[in-house]
Amino acid sequence: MTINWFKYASPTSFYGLAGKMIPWFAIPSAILFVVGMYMGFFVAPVDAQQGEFYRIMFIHVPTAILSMFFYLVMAGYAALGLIFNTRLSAMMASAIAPTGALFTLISLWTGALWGKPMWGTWWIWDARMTSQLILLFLYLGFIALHASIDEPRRADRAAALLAIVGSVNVPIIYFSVKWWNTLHQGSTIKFSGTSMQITMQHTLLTMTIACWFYAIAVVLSRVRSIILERERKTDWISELPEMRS
Amino acid sequence: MKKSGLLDLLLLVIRRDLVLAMRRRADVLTTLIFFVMVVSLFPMGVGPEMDMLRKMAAGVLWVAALLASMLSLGRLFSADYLDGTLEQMMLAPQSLSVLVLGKMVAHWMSSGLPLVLMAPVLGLQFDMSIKALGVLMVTLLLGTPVLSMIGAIGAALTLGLRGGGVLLSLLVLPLCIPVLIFGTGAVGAVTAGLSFAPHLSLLGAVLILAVVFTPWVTAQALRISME
Repeated sequence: MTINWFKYASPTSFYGLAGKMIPWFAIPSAILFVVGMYMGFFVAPVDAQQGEFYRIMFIHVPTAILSMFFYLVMAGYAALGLIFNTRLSAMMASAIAPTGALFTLISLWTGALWGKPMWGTWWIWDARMTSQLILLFLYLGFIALHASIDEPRRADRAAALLAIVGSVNVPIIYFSVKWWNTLHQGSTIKFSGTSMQITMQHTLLTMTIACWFYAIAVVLSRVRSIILERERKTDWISELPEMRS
Repeated sequence: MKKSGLLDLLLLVIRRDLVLAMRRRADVLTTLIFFVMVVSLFPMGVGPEMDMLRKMAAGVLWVAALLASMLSLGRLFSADYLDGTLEQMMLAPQSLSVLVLGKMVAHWMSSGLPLVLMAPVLGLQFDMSIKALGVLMVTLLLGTPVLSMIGAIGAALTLGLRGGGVLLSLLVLPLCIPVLIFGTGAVGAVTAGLSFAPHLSLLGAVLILAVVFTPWVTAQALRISME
């Protein structure tokens, strides 16, 4: 049996598939959030050096990891859209952008909340924090460019090119910021080499998967809205049961 | 008829754009005056203590150069876009990338080069040492072309959009951060008595990457914007 990989590359067939997939990600995500929160607040032990404050990490680390990962996923979809000229890829890219920006913002915010009690300051110009801030700018640039072009096809392609240029730039930015930082001061905190307690690891993993599934569910429902908006003049939309009612 | 090579084409575009820039000298001067003004605002903002100003000098000059180059980017393609020249350029049998490279070089010569030449005078106001001034000029010489080139991508993407200028800065400024860091880093290394060669090498590497890739990316962006 051969699988037709391109079947779901059309918005028409993906619309239904996305609708069916959303509960499969949304419900596990909710369960994992509850489990992760419980483990994070009640099961995981108090850290020897950081006390209770370290628990912010359980939301901070997943959002930070995923925010960078989603930028690459977004750029990947954007590249697919440019190369194969598939409409759905571009829609996926623009559906991921707000979630990615949100995760970046959450990781910056929780980082500041954690930094105040631990370092005694809301913000330091640490390499990680600075590059995260720049990542937020890149997301906002993508969203702004897409929003300011009225014609959807041009918006998709222009934003896709920007996303690709941005993703090429991300490593350069990261290393430049890292070297810039070490020129001025040594890294204040080193995460490597600290062996994490096993419950903490499991909690972190649970929360990461919860965030990941949440993002997938949200992106799928957003892409459904984008499909509806873009294809509103087509026949198959008007034949949808939810449209007729 | 003599078949014109790519180099002839490049020189032709550069000469044409420079002539156009010289016909509208006010635009070139505005960028330069903006640069001088922004740099002069800093001592008024943070106070006239020379020790502090000396430390800030490279950063201030670089940030001002970055902002000044944003200012002139909007004009890079807009005039040609409005009078239809750009469309003819895209229809031309010659490579669009080479045409774009020519426009980038001309843009740098009319907006980046004046800043580089002006920088030492402003550096003296900040009491920079002669050696630091020299390094600052070299970093600006290597770095400002990159700003023009990365900026050209943004200018091509935002061609003909409302509110293009602000949007352009939003897109381009984050991408220019490495140039800023390496540029000021070299001057910082000189004042700290360290070797500034690594920073210059990195800046040179960024310049080479930009020369190779940005004309092609900008050409693609123009095709997207013009279709």
